[in-house]
Amino acid sequence: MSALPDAVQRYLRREQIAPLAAAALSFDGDWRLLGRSGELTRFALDQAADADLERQFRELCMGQSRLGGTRLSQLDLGEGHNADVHLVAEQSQVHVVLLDVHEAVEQERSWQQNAQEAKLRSYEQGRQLRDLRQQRISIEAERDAAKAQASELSARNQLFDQRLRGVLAEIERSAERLLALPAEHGGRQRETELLRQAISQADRCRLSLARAVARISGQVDDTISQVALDQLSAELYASVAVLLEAPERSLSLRLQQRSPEPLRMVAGAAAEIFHYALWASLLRCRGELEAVLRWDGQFAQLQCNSDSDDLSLTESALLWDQQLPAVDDPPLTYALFGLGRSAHRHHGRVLEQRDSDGRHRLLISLPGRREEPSGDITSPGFRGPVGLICGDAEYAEEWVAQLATRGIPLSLHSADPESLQALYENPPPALLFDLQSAAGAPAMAYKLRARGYPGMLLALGELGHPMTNSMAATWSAMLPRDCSLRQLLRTLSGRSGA
Amino acid sequence: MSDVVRKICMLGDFGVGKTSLVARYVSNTFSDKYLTTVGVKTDTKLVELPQRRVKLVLWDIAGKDVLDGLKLTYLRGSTGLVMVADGTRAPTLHSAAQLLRQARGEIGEVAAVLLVNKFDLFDRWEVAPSQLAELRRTMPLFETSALSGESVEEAFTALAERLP
Repeated sequence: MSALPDAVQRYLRREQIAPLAAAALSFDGDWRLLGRSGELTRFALDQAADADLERQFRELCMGQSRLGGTRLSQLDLGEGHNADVHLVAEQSQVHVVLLDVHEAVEQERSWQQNAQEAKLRSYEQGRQLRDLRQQRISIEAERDAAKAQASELSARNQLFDQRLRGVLAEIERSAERLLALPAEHGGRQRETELLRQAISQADRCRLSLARAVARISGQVDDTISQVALDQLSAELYASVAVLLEAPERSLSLRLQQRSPEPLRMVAGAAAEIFHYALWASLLRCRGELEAVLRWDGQFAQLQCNSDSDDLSLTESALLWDQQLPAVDDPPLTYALFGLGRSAHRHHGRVLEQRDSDGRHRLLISLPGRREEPSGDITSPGFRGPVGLICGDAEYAEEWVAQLATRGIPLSLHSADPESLQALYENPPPALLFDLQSAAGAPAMAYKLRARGYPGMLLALGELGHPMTNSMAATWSAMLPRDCSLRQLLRTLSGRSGA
Repeated sequence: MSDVVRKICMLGDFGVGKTSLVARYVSNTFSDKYLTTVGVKTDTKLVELPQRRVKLVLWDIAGKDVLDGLKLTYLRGSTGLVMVADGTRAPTLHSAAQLLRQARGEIGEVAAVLLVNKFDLFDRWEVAPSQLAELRRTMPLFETSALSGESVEEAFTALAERLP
């Protein structure tokens, strides 16, 4: 071990640097090595070639002042060597002084490693906690929705059960009367007609039940169609025919067509909602029920005036919310509840009023639907083109064929960097990603979005893991892989999210 | 073809993968064991560009969200910055932006690229794509993975092309 240069020793004393193992490399102004001194083996500097040291320290001191006073702390020199590096100027020379801080670095590393791992663990735990909270919220929302659906289904079932029982009893009575009559009896024809009506009534009950079940399971038929007021009126009469057989009840239904515009609504909505209204009103009516069915160009309305106020809509809702059994009059309760829920689903309003004579009035308003600009009120306005990222040729061909029927061109791509670049340079207004066959689809969608892609990114299928916020911000919508063309087009045209 | 040497500093919060990115870029290796960096470690890599060869001296500086006085000394002589964030920890993107401001305040408007690392853990990413789209307007940005090597070479080459 050779002694450190005087200038270096003076520097160490002047700076009061604690006694550490030290080595020094002395360079001229052009970074040519002039000498080595100190504990060179500590830093593996004894065997290194001059040229290597000159290159290494020239690069290390790039941009640093050669006038002295420069300190670079805790440099990792490789092979387990750590040094604080000081530059000490002496005339035209510069001494690069290396002070061994390996032990201090290892101590700090140990402390720092523990601290940072603890921070990472804490962050990860925080994330898991957030995920759990989010999952809990989702599960609770799903549970509430399922509960509401189950309750609604149960209520509808009870209502339909009541109706069906009534109708079946009527069928049985008619059949018995029919069988009791001799073949040539004149009343047989009337009884046969009654039986036919009752069977038809039962069939409508069955259809209503099927429609209700379809709604509960999410298969909502939202086709908009034109509704004729007189036809609607006939449907409503037929739907409450069983109740009108009671001798004390009758119904007079007037029509008021106040606008020449055709009434357009979701198919079956008006019939269903107004049926509930009439059913409820008739159940609590002890005489004649006066009803008016009108269309004013904006709203289809049914107004029912009755003389009874046995149970109000508010009360039925209260019973429902508190999940109390409808002991007094289940059919009426369920009819009123069905009315409220159905009207709400179709953006309708239900008002209960009392007129000056103390008569009860129920007024239901349903907004009509406007005609779409394309002329076809069911076809969305999206015209494409669309890109499909997919690894399943058969599935892709299906979509090509289906979209071709609407004149929408579909281009096929794979989930690779070349496709990403091509799509980035020439982006279509919408891209579909088949999550099942294109493994890199979510990452590709994310990268497109992160490059400012403004169009619609639509996932077909399920992610297979909980969706993070970043993924939620990537997708415009998600649809089942086997969604219908109609569902797809509606989503692409922005008329319904997923 | 001329050769130039340029000093590049790697900056970013702790645990974002700076050391792993350097290991992937320089020696094409990866270790999944996290070993914290203390102080600074240097490495070199020669980049062949069409017009010249650039020797990058990479300064892998211990991860911090703010640089103290001693660490600022490391930056002297740098002509480029590699800012690194971890896509699975959104706050590290903020740290990278803060460090970039601090570094440029010290050494001026040098070239910089932003690497949002750990794209292999994409299903746990917290960074919204719109945030990256916004940042991409201000500097080249790459979604990288030191584990798979995705976009690592491209990112360093992009920086080398922008160096004086």
